[in-house]
Formats: sequence, C-alpha cells, structure tokens
Amino acid sequence: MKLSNKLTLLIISLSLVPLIVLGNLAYENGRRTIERQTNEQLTSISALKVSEFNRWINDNKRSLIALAQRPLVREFTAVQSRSGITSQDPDFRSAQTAMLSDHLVPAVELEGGFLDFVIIGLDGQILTSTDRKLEGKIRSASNYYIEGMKETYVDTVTFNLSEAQYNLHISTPILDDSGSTIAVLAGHADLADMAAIITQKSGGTISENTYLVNAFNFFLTDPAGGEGYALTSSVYSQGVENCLAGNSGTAIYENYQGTLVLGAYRWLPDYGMCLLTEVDHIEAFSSIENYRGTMFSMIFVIAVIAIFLSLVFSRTISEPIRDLVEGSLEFGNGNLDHRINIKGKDEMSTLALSFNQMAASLRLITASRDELDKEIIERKNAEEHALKERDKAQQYLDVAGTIFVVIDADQKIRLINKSGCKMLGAEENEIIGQNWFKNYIPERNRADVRVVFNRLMAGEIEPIEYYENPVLVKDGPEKIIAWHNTLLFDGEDNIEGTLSSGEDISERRKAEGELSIKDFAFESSSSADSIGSNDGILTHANSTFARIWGYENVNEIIGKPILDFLADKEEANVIIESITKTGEWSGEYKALRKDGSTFIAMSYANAIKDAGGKQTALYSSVVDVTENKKAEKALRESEYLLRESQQIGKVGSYILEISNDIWISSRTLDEVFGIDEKFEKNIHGWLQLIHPDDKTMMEDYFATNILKNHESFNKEYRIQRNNDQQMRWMHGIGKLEIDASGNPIKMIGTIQDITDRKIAEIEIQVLNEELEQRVLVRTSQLEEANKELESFAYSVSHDLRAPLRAIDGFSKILQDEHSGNLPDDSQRYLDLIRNNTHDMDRLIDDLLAFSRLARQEPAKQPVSPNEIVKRVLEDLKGELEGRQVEMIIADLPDFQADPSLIKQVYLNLIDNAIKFSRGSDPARIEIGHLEQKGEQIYFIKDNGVGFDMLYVDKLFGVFQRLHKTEDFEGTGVGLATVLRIIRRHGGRIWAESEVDQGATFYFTLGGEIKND
Amino acid sequence: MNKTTKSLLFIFLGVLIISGCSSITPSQAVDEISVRLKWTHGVQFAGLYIAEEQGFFAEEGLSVTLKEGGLDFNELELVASGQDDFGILGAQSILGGRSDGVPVKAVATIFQISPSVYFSLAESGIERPEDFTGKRVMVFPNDKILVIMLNNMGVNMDQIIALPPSNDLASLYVGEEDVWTGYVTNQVVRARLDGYEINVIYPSDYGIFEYGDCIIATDDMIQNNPELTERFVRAAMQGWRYAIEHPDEAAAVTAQYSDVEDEVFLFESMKAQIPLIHNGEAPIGWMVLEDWQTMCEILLNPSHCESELELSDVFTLQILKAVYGIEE
Repeated sequence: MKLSNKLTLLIISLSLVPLIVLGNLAYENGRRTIERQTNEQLTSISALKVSEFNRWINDNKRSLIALAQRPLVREFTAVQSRSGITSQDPDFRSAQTAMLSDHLVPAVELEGGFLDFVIIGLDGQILTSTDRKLEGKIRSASNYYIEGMKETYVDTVTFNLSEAQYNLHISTPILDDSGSTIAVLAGHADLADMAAIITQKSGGTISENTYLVNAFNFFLTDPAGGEGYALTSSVYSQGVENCLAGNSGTAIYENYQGTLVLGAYRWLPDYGMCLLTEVDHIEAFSSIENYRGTMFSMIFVIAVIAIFLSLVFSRTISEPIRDLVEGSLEFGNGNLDHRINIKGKDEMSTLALSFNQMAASLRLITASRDELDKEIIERKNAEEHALKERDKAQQYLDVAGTIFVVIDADQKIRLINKSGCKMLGAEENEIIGQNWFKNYIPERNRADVRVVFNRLMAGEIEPIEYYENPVLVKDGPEKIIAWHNTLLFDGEDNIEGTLSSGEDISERRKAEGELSIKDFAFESSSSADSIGSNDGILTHANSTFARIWGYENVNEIIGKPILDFLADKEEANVIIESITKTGEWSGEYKALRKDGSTFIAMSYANAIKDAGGKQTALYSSVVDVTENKKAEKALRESEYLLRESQQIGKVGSYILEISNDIWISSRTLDEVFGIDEKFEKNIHGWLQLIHPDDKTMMEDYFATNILKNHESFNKEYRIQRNNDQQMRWMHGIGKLEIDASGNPIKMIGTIQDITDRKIAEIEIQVLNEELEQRVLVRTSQLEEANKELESFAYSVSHDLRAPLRAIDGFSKILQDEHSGNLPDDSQRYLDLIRNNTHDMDRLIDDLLAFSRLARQEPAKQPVSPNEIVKRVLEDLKGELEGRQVEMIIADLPDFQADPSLIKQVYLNLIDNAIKFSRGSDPARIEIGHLEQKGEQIYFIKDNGVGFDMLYVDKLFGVFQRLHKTEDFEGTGVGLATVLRIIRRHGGRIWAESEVDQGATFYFTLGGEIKND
Repeated sequence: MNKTTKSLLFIFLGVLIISGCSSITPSQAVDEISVRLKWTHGVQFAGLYIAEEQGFFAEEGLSVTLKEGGLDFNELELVASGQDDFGILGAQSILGGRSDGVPVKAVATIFQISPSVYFSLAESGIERPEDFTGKRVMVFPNDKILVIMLNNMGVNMDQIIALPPSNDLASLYVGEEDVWTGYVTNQVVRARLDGYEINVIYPSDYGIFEYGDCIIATDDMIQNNPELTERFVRAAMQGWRYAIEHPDEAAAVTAQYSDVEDEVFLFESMKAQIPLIHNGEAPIGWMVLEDWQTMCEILLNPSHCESELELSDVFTLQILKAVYGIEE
C-alpha cells in the first residue's frame, strides 16, 4: 500500500470509527423504544375499536329484543302466523298494517340502527317487512332465520342477490305467552354505522388505518385507499394470516398495498372476523429515521474533512517523487514532448529540470526526418485521388439511359454523350452541329419547345428544372424524354447555351397508362385491399381498407407498420411468416381499428413475387365478418339453455330442411321415436311413424297449417314407436323459417314424449265424464223430489185449512150460542182456541205463499217502489196505531220487478222493522237506497233490538226465529219468503246489525236497472 | 482489485445464489391434465383462464388443457371414462348421473347459486312469482325449478300462459312474452346494456336453488390421486379469487378465449356473477350437505334421496378441506 493511502486511512479511521459506533447504538436503542410505543398505541386503538364495535352490536341486539318483546308486536305476530301470508283474511291484513305503522316503521325511522325489519314465519316465509318487496320471499335457508328461531343471533356480513346489497342481520325469536317461538324478527343493521366506527381515526397518526376482514380473507369494510374493497377483495398479509389462525398481537409486515406497516390484529371469535389496525412503518419511525439522517450527514461531513486533510498532507510529501518517476517512464517510451512538472526549488526540482532539458534536445533531432516522410506520402495520395475522380466523371457521363446534351444559343447541338447518341440512334458526328429542334423535336411540339428555349436564352424565365417532351429517333418510334436543364454562361455571365440531362421514360409512361386501370380496380374494390413491403410497412391500401379500419383516408394509413392493424401482434407475425413460407394465407384474425375497437377480419393474403420468384411485397384482401360471427354466437348461446333443459327433460330436437326434405335429430329424439341412423329421415318417414288414427289429421295439419299458412308447429299426436310398435303420445313444437320470397325453408323444434301426462289426462277426463253423468242423474232426481215436496206442501196447506175452518167455525158457534151456559174458564179457553186457529191460518197462508213462489215465475214490469211503500204503509196502519214511529222515506228509483211479489218484500221487511223497534222510543225507520259500483241497493233500517251477527246465517231460513215468540210474534216464514222473492228476481239480500243497535236489511234486484 | 475484496465478493455472490435457490420450489415433474368445460368458452370459466394466465396452474406443477363442451359432448361421460381428468357440470346433471350409477362426484362448486333466473321488463310490473298469473311466460321443457317456485307461492302451471323458448331478446322487448328464462350473467346483462330496466326474479328467494358449475372428478381420481385433485382445485380457487378481485382483467382474459368480443359485456357479466360465487357466507367453492339434500329432493325426488342415493356419493368436502387447510 502506498504511503499516501496509509496516511489517508489512518486519519479517516481515527475520526469516524467512534462516531459510527456511538451513533448506531443510539439509533438501535431509539428504534426499539419507538416500536414498543407504537405497538402499545396500536393495541389500545384496536381494543377501543373492538369495544365500540361490541357496543354497537349489543345496542342493536338490545333494541331488537325490546321490539320483539312488545306485547302488541307479539299479539300482531300471533295473528299473522296463524293465518299465513297468502290469506286474504282481513285480520291478517289489519295486523300487518298495525305492526308496520305502529312498531316496525317508527323503529326504523325514529330509533335508527336498523335499515329494515322483517318478520319471518315458522315456515321461513317473510310475513311482514318495512321493505314491502321482501314480503312473501322465503328465507328458510338463511342462518339468521335458522339461528334466530332459537335465540338472538348476529349473522356475518353477506351479500343478498335480490336486494343487491351487503347485509348484516341480527335476529331474535318472537315468543307467544307460553314461551314458544311463533316467528323470527330480523333487523338489517346499518353497515354505514359499522364502517364509521371502524374507520374513524383516533387521531394519533396520519396513516392509521383500521379495517375488518372476514374468515375467508375478504375485506368487510373498505380500508384506506381501497374504496369498494368490501367483499370484493381479499388480503393475505402476515397480520391477517396470524389473526385468522385465531391469534391476537402485533407484527411488522407488508399490508394489502405492499406497504410496510406496523399492525395490531385481533381475532373476534363471536363474529368470525379480524380487526386490523395499522400504521405505516415510515411514519412510525420517521423521527428515528430523521436522527439517522442527521447522523449520516455528520459522518459524511467529517469524512470529507478527513479526506481533504489527508490528501493535502500526503500530497506535499509524495507528489514530487511520483512526478519524477512518471516523467522518466514517459521519456523511456519515446514521448519526448513530455515535461516534468516543477514545483518549488528543492533538490527534486533541479533533478526534474535536467530531465526536461535532455528530452528537448532529443526532440529536435527526430522531428525533421519525420516531416519529410509524411509529405511524400501525402502527394502520392492526392495524385491517385485525382485519377479516380476523372474516371468516375467519365462513367457518370456515359451511364446508360442518361443523355447529356449541350445546345448553343443558335439552337445547334454542341456536345452529346455516348448514351445520347445511342438513344437518338445516330453516330456522334451525325448529330453534332445539327439544329436540335428541327431534327429532333416532332413537328407538332416544335414551336412550343422552341418558345420555351428562346425565353430561357433571353433570361426571361428561370431554368426549367424538369420538362418532358417527345424526341424523334432515327429509324424508330418517338421517345419521351424527361429533362433537367441548366444554363451555361461564358466568362462574362452571358448565356451561352443550355446543358440538359435527359432520361428515357417512354416505357414508364406506357406502363403507367396500363397501370391506371389496375389501380382503379384496386381502389374501387369492395374488399379492403392492401400491399405491404417485406419489412412490414403498408405501402398501398384502398379506400375500403381505410373505411373498415376506421381511418379518414388512405394517406393516414400508408407508411404504418402492418402490425398496427392487427389486435394480436403474435398472431400477425404468424400470418406474415406463413405467407413468406408458403406464399399465401387465408383465414380470420382479430383486426384493430383506429379507435382501438376490434373486428373479425376474414382475409386472403399472398406474396407478390418478381420474375425471379423473390418476394417483393405482401398482398392482402379482407372482408369484415364480425356481424356473421355475432349472429353465430347468439345462436349458440340460445342453444345452450335449450340443451341444458333437453339433457334433463329427455326432449328431442330436430331441424327439418323443407326444401331438401330431410331432417336431422338429436340422440334423444331418436330414442323417443325408437329409430336409428338407418331410418328414413324425411317427411314421409315421419308420417309413417304416426299412429294410423292420427295420420290423416297430421298430414292435413302439416300441409295446411305449416306449409300453407306458415304457422308454428304446436300439436299433440300419437306415434307407433318404430322399435317396439308401442303407442306413444308426442308434443311437437317447431318454429318455421321463411325465406325472402315467403317460402318455408326450415323448421327447428322439439318433440317431447308426453305419454305419461296424456294417460293421466285421459284418466282424469274419464273420471270427469263419469262425474258429470252422475251429477246429471242426481240433478234430475233432485228436481223430481223438489216438485213432489212442493205439491206436498201445497196440498198439506190446503188440506190443513179445512179442519182448521171446522174448529174455528164450531168454536165460534159455541161462543155465540152457548156462552151463557159455559163457565168463565171455558170461555177463555175458547178464545185461546180461536186465537191459535187464526195464528195457524196465517201460518198456512204464509207457507202457501212461500211454496207458490217456487213454482211461479215473477212477472217483471217497471215498478215504482215509492208507490209500493205508500201502499204497504197504508196496509200497516193498524200496526202503527198508538206508536211513536219516525218514518224517513227517500225518493226511490224505479226498477223492474213483479209488483205483487215486491210488495210482499217491503211488507215483510217494514212489518219486521215496526215489530222489532217496538221497544225504542221514538222508533225510527228509514226506507232508502244507495248506489254502489253502478248497482242500486235498497234498504230498510230500524233502531230496534237488532240481532247478533253470529246468527246472521240463520236469519233467512224457514221457521228460523232469532227472538222468542213471546217477545215478538211471527211465523218465521217472512224473511225466508223475502229471500226467495229476491233470489227469483236474480238479486241479493243481506243484513247488518248489532244487538240493541237496530238492524238494516239491504237488497238488490238483478237485471236491468231503470233509473228514469 | 486485491485478494481480500475478491474473496469478499465471492462470498457475497455465493450468499445471493444460495438464497435465490431456496426461494425456488424444488423442481417437480409437470402433470398434464385436461378439463372438460360444460359449454363453449365464456365468462363463466373466467377463473380457470386466470389460473392459466397468472401461472397458478404452473405453480402447482400442472399443464392444463381447457376443452370446450357443448351440444356435441357428453361431459359427464368424458370425465367418467377418464378421457378428461376433471369437468365442470351443474348439480342437476351430477345428481342425475349418480342416480344412473355414473361414478363421478362434485369436489367444489363455483356457483353457490345457479345464474338461471326469470326476468321481465320493469314496465310490466312483474316482480314476483305471483305476478306470473295470467302472463305469457317463456318455459323450457321440464323446468322443474319454475314449477316448484310457482307452487311455493301458490301458483299452478295452468294459471300461466306457457310459451316455447325464443332465441331473440327482441321478442321480450316488443312484448311477445312477459317473462323470460335466462342467465343473470348473460341475457339479463345484455338486456340492461340494450337500455332496458329489468326485474329479476331469483328462484332462491322463493325456496329453490341449484349449485351452478361444480368441479367434478371420478371416484377413482379422488381416491387414488387426491393430491393431484387438490392441486387443481387449489389453483382454480386461486384463479377465481383473483377474478373476483380483478373483474376487468378477468373480462380481458375471457375475451382471448371466447369469441365474444364485447369487453363491456364481458365485464358486466363478470361483475354480475361475483355474488353468485362469493357472498361472504363461506370460502369460494364451499358446499353444504343440507344444500345437496334440498337439491336432491327438489331436482330428483324425495324418496329416491332417502332410500337409493347416498349424498356422500354425490359430493365430497375432502378436497376443499385440504385446499383451505380445514381440520377434519
């Protein structure tokens, strides 16, 4: 090691080593302290969050349980779970409405915490919900229902498909009085509250980040910088892994964003979740890192100073020696221009000076010889160069195809090169001195070309850079020459003539003429045609190409790499390689439009080759087939569902090509028909399968409904299965495809074996027919019996009357003629006998009238009920005597009815009203009508004793009485008669009442209603 | 460079090489397996494409060929006969196969709920099965799920007007049908992209559901090669998890396999299937005995499920437990 380096190292070591050791000790110490403090801080934040989270859950649980325990909630739930949701029971509906308006909705709106409540019945169906759309849905498989049946349960956060949102459900059983569960009350907790609790910062650090993760590594709340992560993103950091193993603690690890963090994790076994609280490593250790930075800068500054000092120190000692050594080495290598650096005036400097002088003397001697050699070589080179240049110039002039010609001001040819002579087909001596225009420009162009020349000569115009004109050739056709012209000047800047170089472009022009037709074909092609160079650059393209690829015009495209037009670069390279190898390629590829969209290109491409078979370019012709592809795809997708269902349902499918008279069938259909591949699969073959009894019908159906009327095939028919000749029922469905000219070309459809269903149907039909037959027999028997019964009732009534008259007559005689002889008791008995015979007589009258009604058709005619009521009240005058009755009679609209029968109705009903309002003072009877849904309803209302609605069914029966005869007289036939009359008119009658609150009888009369 | 520096450098490089080696899994022979899909390539298999593209299969030492299924294939047969190692198939087919004696069972389910739903235009006001009464409903032959769903809600099949399946959503738009049957990840997405507001009626809201695409393997495979099955299922589950987290990438990868070009449609379809795959209740792929019991009773018949079919022949949790490290 050199002296200077030793010195430098020594100084640096002495100054830096103690500094680094001490600094590091302090840093490590500080770092550990900070890590411990941060971990403590994170753990306490984490504990705080957990207790807040628990409190939130418990608050919600408590309020849910309180709701479920409200007596009215339990009562309403009991009503609902008894009747079930499909019930139209008014009790159910009213319980549901009351539950919602009085309990569930206020709990959502006023108390908060829950977004929705549902009540789930024992069978798992939602009975009531604040979100009415949920009612009726079945939740029997949900954990919160299953567990909620047993006890209060907190579900995990799950996604609900039909509600399209994440839910956390808390559920609790609703119990009846005996303590058994009658339903589950479930609340859908507000996850925003949960997220707010979790994500709210405690304020200690900027990067503090708390989030929940479920047991399957998925986020439950959005972490910082991760909006929308909840249940869509998973996390596998060290913290989460530790936690999901059921541990709680702290660690340093990379989090979900790959950031190094200090994190505290806590496993929450009750909810199957992890709570993580993290803070960025950088932020946590920023203060200690700052300290380290300061320490590093100090080390750096001290190192710089140390290095500087050591350098200065070592330089003064070692540098002059080094210079002397270097100098002597240079001189030894022959570099005599080198001079040793001389510093100061010490011994070293004197030595250096002597070296320098020696080198200078050597230099002088060698210099003169070298320069001479150099000059000789340079001259030789210049000479060779001049010779080469001259040869090159001669070659340029004689290059095939290029004419050089000089024309004097007097239009004569002064000079022409060999190519020029060859082109004009003459010797040089024949041409020189001739007039250019007269001899070599065709008559028709001569004047024009000469004018241009003259003007050039006169200096009126600038030399024409490029000019084309035809030239006459000895013994041959004219040639077209393209010229480049320059003016020649003499010594005094006068124009002396022109120097023109010309090129024979006759062939090119001719070819161009031909080419233009091909160009047109290329340009107007409806396919997208293009040509590319071997190195993959597009050189030609037509406008169809530009349009299909979405470019404005062709100019935008030319010069771009071919790869730019394909979506898949690898595929493109494969195609190009294939063309190069085989000379052509055809197929489909995914093409890339200017706007980045893609389409399917169907392409034919080949290599363009020169005469020698070498590839010069690539040609491609393309058609956009994306639409075809889409249609193909759509068809396949629809086949998907069809197929899935066929696999399961054993439904066969077929495609019938009508024009070719052939069908193809699925394997299932072959099984259904009992045929194999040898079967004659055409329309004739199908008809052969059909059962003889259905054959004519199906021939006719196919010819008329399908082929002629173009209907869809939808028919049930029988076949005789080919393999076992068993009769089977088929249901065939088919959709007909029609071509543009309206001819059916194809039918696609399915055929299902419906024999089992058919057999069941036929059984049902037979049963139904039997049943109908039996009903008919029973009906006629019943009618017979009814008639007999009526005639019996009539004759009984008639025959009863005769003895009754006798009893009454003889009793009257006894009273009139023998009253004097009879004791008082006997007289009273006679009175009773007579009263009872009158009662019985009235009863017989009523029964007669009642039975008559059965036989007699009502003779309908327009009737004024006002008139009828008036007459009835007239008849009932006797009943009203001595009574305080307030009669309210409305103006009643007319109707169609039998007047005598309808009078009976009013008579009976008003009579009843008077009778049963006897105890009320004042009695009040209202005779009126009302209109409901276009129907006239007539009513008679009283404020009498009324009846219990429980017995309303018995009201209209014969001999049915709701009151004791002692209280209210009557035969018990009146309302039965009224019912029968109203029914005979096609109307309805019903009553409403409450005990001691009066009764109202309503009736309608069916049929035409006349209002005028 | 002096000797000391050189030797230091060697040591340093040595450490690098050793530590580098230790991070590479010991090389194992790559197993070639083939998987038979239940249909042509599409977004319903996105997780498998992801597993391939992200190298999850390769990490498990698998070289996987994904083969299309469809109308021309009997996927159950292909897996049962060993021509394909694994397959993707619906619960109904697995139950049907097992009751016919095919020795194949489910080892995981991708779709916790089949994407097959009923849907209507929102303007029709049809929101629930009861609303089907008197309406024109597209009915696939033998759609047991429809019959049971309606029955659960007190509606009989003869109360609806059943129409044969149609190919063209336009017939729903113009009102030829009132209710359609389709995939919530396909026809429903398409109709919404076409600008229609759609009401979706999920059978799972009305007491019926079906596991959609299950991963199937033969009894023989599960018994004799559980480790291979486990590696495949683990990579597939990882693929699905990645697809859920990156629906945009899943759509882009699907576009490479499928001939559906429309990435907007693929993206929406991918998003629509996420809750069918993972809804926070269980790990991805998980299956539940009670669910299979219910499906068996609904989709086959109850007596059959009790007496003739062992549910342990229909599915097994053995593989999933191993994949997720869940103790027996």
